[in-house]
Amino acid sequence: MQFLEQFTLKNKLNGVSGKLKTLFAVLTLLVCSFSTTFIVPLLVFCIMLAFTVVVAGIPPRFYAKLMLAPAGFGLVSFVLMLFFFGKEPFFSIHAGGLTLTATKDGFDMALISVGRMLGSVSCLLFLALTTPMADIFTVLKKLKLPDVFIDLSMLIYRFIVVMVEEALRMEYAQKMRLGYSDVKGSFRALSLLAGNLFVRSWDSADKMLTAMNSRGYDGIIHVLDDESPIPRLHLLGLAGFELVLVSLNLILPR
Amino acid sequence: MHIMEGFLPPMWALFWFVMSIPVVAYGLVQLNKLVKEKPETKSLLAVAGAFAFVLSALKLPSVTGSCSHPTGTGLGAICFGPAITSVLATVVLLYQALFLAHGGLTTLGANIFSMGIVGPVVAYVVFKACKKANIGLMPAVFLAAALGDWATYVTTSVQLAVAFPTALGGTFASFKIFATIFAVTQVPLAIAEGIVTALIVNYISQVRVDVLEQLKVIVSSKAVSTS
Repeated sequence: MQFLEQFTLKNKLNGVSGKLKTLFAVLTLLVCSFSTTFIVPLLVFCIMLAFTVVVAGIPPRFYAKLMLAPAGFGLVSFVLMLFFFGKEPFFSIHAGGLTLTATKDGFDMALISVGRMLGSVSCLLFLALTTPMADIFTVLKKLKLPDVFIDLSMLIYRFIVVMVEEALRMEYAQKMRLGYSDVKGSFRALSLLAGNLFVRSWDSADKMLTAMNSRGYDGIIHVLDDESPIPRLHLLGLAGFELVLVSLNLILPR
Repeated sequence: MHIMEGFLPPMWALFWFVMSIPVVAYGLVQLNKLVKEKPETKSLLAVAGAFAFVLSALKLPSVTGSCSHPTGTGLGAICFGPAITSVLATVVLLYQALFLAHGGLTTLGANIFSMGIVGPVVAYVVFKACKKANIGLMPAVFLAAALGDWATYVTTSVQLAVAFPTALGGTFASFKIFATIFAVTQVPLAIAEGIVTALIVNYISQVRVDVLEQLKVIVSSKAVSTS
């Protein structure tokens, strides 16, 4: 189980303001998902790929593995839409007595939705691989989300890190003892793991809250946020970039 | 059953946000009330949220050969009710997008609606009905988790179908296509998740029955005798 988050603290974009990275990823994501032509998402995909792999230095193999699921999903959707969703005949395939007719409007629909999906996924991956959770919390606070929501998110984040480690340890221990060797055993092993994890975390949550209360916890976890403003030049560059994408959308034929 | 980032047309992505936000806001109000009354519940809720995330990151034993991930929201609905579960699901879905690249930010609204609202509501209603019918804890949990999963999967199919109607058959034909494709993985997955959830609750009831009593999943013998 590899989390994308582990790369956020050791990539080459680490010194760049988290707010800027979030803004860049989210704005591009929005422009990409509102695109009316498939060329803009394709462009976004290439730019985000370059930023993530070349500039930030995320291992290409790891990135390729992450793209595998969206690519597979994209391929299935593409084929489905091409053959079953339109009505204007485009071309036909004859295979073993079966005739499949591809459609022109189905092709258009497939091209734009799969394109938008791939472009958006690359934006999401950029954000997930380069921006530490702490910076994203800062942005969530700036968005004025309710305190209880942010606090709960922070606590859940903390527990996820602890529980995943514990779950992996238990899984190794079970595998050493022939857990997961057949289907029935897998069900038993998984539910033992999960049940035990639940009970143990339940108790540790109790203890943690006692510890926090005795240190003056008042329902909000106070952390120092990165208050440094985003350099104006970077903001201008970002605005220019998004403007180019938007105007490409307006110029290019649908 | 996550909808991939950016796959929904923008208007539909927005529509599902508009549908989900009031429910999550209501859940937040409930959560605020609960935390004010009993501050100790907050860390427990956080554990439940993290647990749902970790469960979803683990692989379920494969039944058909395809590996699948449990959603874990059935358990949340049984323990905390659907309103608060919708808040937990929102946080969990955000982390799934950022840590595992499952789902996404633009499709967050749609995914909250199917996995954080419809699934838990169905699971909760089924669980309550089963408790009334007195069919025992394990079968009740199994049915709640499995039916909650199926409700989620039907909702996702509807969401995709209304966003991508076919030119000839419209939304209904599109629904049939998506639902058939998903059925291959989702029907066995829901059964597997039902079994695992039932076994988890069974395990907790064996070693720490007080936790389930605290959550009012099962009525404690002590509470009945004192009240």
